[in-house]
Amino acid sequence: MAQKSPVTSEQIAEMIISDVLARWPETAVIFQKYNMACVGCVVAPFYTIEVAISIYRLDRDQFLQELTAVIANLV
Amino acid sequence: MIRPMKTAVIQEIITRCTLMDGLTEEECRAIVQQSRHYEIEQDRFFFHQGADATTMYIILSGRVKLTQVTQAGEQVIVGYCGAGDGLGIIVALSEMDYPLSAEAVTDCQAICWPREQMKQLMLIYPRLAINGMGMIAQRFVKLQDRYQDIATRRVEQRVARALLRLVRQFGKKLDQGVLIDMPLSRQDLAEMTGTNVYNVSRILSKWERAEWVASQRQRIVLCKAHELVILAEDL
Repeated sequence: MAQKSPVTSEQIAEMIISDVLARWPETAVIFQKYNMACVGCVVAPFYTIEVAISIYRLDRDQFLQELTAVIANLV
Repeated sequence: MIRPMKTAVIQEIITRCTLMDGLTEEECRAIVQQSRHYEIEQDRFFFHQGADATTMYIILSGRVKLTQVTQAGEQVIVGYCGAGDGLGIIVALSEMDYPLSAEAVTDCQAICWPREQMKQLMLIYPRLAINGMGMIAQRFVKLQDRYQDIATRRVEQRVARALLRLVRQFGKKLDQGVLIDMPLSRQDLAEMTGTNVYNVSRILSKWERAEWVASQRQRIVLCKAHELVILAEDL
């Protein structure tokens, strides 16, 4: 059953990459799926999810939706 | 004149330091009580390679460069340390001389213990000795990584990896990117990566043109850190 995520897509976009990974380690699979270097990256504590989206030229809505879906399922 | 630090700040750094892992506040206090406060100005040395290792330090503020000089007089930078890091832990755990030199690249403050006293403390608080070994293990793993870099990576990758390692230790977010918060010359980067200053200059100039990095008066800002990560990790 689909759960409601405790954070919205827009809130996640503003979060620091390493904070997201630390709080919900299960999101790592999403980063890996898109071949992103964020998991364990030394600069992850300095950039937001929003920046990662633009660096990797991702589909913003799609990526944020996938992150929130993983987080929602953890609740 | 080095500005004195607040006691609360000193306490905070010491409790978070690996050396004090798993020790109670009371034990920490007892250990720190036996230490001496130490101040050193920029460009001076905590100790020199080959000297009798008499003292162990925990850095409270500033940046310290660890170097070795070869018999031919060439200098190698083994690494950098900052607040919370230990210097000369080897002192307490062996009878060796200092295997490298430690130079203050900014004004520094530290607390320190003479060798015999630290040994006594380790007998009273075995946790202290285990933590000391843990710190040496961390240093050892870092050196293995560096060795692997030298053995397998291209010069450009080695420079990128050196910068990223410093970001992990001393990175500070600015509007235009991530600053490596300490003085860092091209010569320093050459001595960290087993190459010469001409190679480092060529590489940094290329990255500056691509706007990946910006450097000014020995300060380096990574403007597009992710590009360096991709280069460093062969992604």
